[in-house]
Amino acid sequence: MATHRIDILGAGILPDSGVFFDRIGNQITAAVSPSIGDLLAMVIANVAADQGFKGNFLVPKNYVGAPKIVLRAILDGAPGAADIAAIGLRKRAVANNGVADGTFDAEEIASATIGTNGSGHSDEDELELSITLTAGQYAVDNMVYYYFYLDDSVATYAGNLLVTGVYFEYADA
Amino acid sequence: MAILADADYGALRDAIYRKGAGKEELKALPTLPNKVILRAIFQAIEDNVQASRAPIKAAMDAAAGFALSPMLARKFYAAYVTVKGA
Repeated sequence: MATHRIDILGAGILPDSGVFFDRIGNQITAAVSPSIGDLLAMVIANVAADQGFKGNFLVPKNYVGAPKIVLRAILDGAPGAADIAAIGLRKRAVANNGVADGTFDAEEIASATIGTNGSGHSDEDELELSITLTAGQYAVDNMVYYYFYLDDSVATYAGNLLVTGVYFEYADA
Repeated sequence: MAILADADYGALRDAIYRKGAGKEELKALPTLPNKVILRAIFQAIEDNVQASRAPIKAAMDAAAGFALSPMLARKFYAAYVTVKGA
């Protein structure tokens, strides 16, 4: 059994109002080029409402189980000691001939204390957060329509997350 | 004077957390004020918007839990005016 990650930031994603793509160098004072300042990121912040983007991906042919959604981002702002970052996912997984339309399933969330009381992240550090999903809700070749967001109900961190990747993690046979 | 709505807070936070609008001053702090504190600072402006400069600054400092630099205080106020009007 091996663990895989596939990028789910496809061309068809739709950001919420207030979420935008930008050069990282426009958001932080990056090192001399070439550096991360030259790269593109999706800028998402916690603004008293869930904020993120909607998109879709196909569950791979070798999917067996252990699904997760994994965020990779750069922190833009020094977290306080007890500050919490949180992410959430609502989705609808549909097989061929399944009913595609319908309100997405209830949210699944993950959070972490990212300041010195927890993981000890600092300003402009790389951040990984992952949501452990319900395995039985996914199957090979399901189209997964989803809404991924920073979860407002738990988060206290007020800086930007410069999102460089969101991945579907799973185990094969 | 009113309790700031979530949408107001979102717009205010976005207005100040931009380069040139306050982001540099906020990032220069040892830690970024969290969501509750940022909101409290903007609420302090809202509550004192018809007062003169000194009481507004005092209310902002009290909400922040530390003395804002004059430049950062101005930028909070400028963000407030941008979103809510003078």
